[in-house]
Amino acid sequence: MKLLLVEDSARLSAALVAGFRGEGFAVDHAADGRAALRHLEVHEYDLLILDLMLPQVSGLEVLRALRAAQTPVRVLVLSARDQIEDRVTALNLGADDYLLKPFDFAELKARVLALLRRRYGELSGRLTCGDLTLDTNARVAATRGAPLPLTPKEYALLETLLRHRGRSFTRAALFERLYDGLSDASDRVIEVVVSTLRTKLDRAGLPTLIETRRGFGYRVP
Amino acid sequence: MFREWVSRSLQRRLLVSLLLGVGLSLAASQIIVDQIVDRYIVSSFATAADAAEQRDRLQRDIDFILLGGVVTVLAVSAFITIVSVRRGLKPLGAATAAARALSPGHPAHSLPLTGLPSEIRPLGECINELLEGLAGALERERRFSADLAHALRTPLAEIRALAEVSADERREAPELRQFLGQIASAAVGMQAVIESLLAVARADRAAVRNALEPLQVAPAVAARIERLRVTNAVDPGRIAARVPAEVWIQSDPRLFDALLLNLLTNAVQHGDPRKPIEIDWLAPSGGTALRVRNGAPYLSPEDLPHLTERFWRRAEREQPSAAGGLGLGLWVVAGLCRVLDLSLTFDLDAEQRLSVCVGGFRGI
Repeated sequence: MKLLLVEDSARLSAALVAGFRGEGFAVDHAADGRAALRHLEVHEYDLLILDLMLPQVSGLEVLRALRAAQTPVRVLVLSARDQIEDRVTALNLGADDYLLKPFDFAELKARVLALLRRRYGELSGRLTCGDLTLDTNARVAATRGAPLPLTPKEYALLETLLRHRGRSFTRAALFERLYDGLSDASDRVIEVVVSTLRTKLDRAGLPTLIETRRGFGYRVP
Repeated sequence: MFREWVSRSLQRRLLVSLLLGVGLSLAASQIIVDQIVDRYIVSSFATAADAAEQRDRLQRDIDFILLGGVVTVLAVSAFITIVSVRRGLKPLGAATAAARALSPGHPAHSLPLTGLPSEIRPLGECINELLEGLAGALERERRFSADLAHALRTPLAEIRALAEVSADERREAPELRQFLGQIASAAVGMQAVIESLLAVARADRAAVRNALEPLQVAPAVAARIERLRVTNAVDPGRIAARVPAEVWIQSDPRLFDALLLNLLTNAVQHGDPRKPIEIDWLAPSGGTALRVRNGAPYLSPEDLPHLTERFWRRAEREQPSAAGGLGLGLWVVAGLCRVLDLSLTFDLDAEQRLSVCVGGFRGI
């Protein structure tokens, strides 16, 4: 899952980026509205966390531009503006949720996960494939009820493939979804993650879960 | 209740006055009638008995007419009095109802003045002026509280988010140290907001009794820069202070320090970080001034009148700043200048440098 955090406070951004990366999300950060629009032109995000009072281009203008371009990304507005009219304006412009500062990080994470579930049409917060179950709220995997210990990147890769079952992802497409823009790694790191994940799935009795389609990439059939 | 009390009281007084008037008129009429009867009627009869009889009859008739007239007049007068008093006091009743509707939460209403007696109208006007001022003050305070709450939400969100993310046991020590430093920095930011507001509040209270004493400017400036350096609020290498050691002024040291703090913090938070912050002591003709100059690439001359507005920031142009200025610094400076009877001027030169000049210091 890839998030774009648009927030001009460097301290808050540092905390949120670290927090979401720790949960296995790929997070890009834009410190103003113009940079956010540039990110959105180049990358595909699952969710946008958007502050409203931004330098150069305001959060509402970003939202307006986003919806005018019919970008399907979910938007969670994170703002210190506590007036009803601010919330109504943001929601009417196409925001999917509005959270007031200061907030609890656990609540922010829960709202992000709820929006992602809604985006992918999930109701239960669980993804299953045979004996494998992913709890997308707790972000843990299990096979036949036994925990399957995964690193955040392995979990994110598996979640992406399970959310889009049958669809093939190239190495570059997976890298784009799993790593943020500032990552120093190359897309070859995906091969390493797939390899370690396959080893763990093999040990758990799921050796053929991830297929490699030559020329198309990886998929879960 | 109030309206009824007033109207009944007035009615009582009017009725008593009316009764007294009628009684006095009746007594006076009786005396006059006696005189007329004695002088013109009694003298025309042949015998004293006829005259006495005729006089008694005439007097009874006159008394009856007078009494009947008086009773009629009294009843009609009482009715007219009650109706006119009630009608006259009706606007007062409306004003009383409007006054009763006033509350601390809704002081914006005013008393209706239409139809008020001219004697009471000035009082109503005074109350309305008072209410208007009160409503304005309450609205300003409400807006200020909302702005302040908004200004404190962001640093509070920073502290909470940093603390919560730090609680993750997977965090490494260097990252934790970095987060702790940022928490401290956010707390310093909040402290600056609160201190700025307190400085102005205290200054307002002390407006007329601030104690002026001899103050050497250069050491005061150096001490303030050092205190900012200790709290990591500013890189002292970025500040060039050129204040001659022999400059002494009469000022309030605490307020002068608050002035310096806000001038420098504003320059750090909103100025161009690539440009130096210059502090100069100027001696224009017949006066003295302290000038703080910093690069301000995002300002335009049209922005200058707004610089002392509370929470004003050139947000749509200003570069993202880790320092997170709130737009209070120059508002505080303006408040302090007012208290210390100093002038405050702004200038934006061709090189996009903002000069903030505080003038009118009393030299020694």
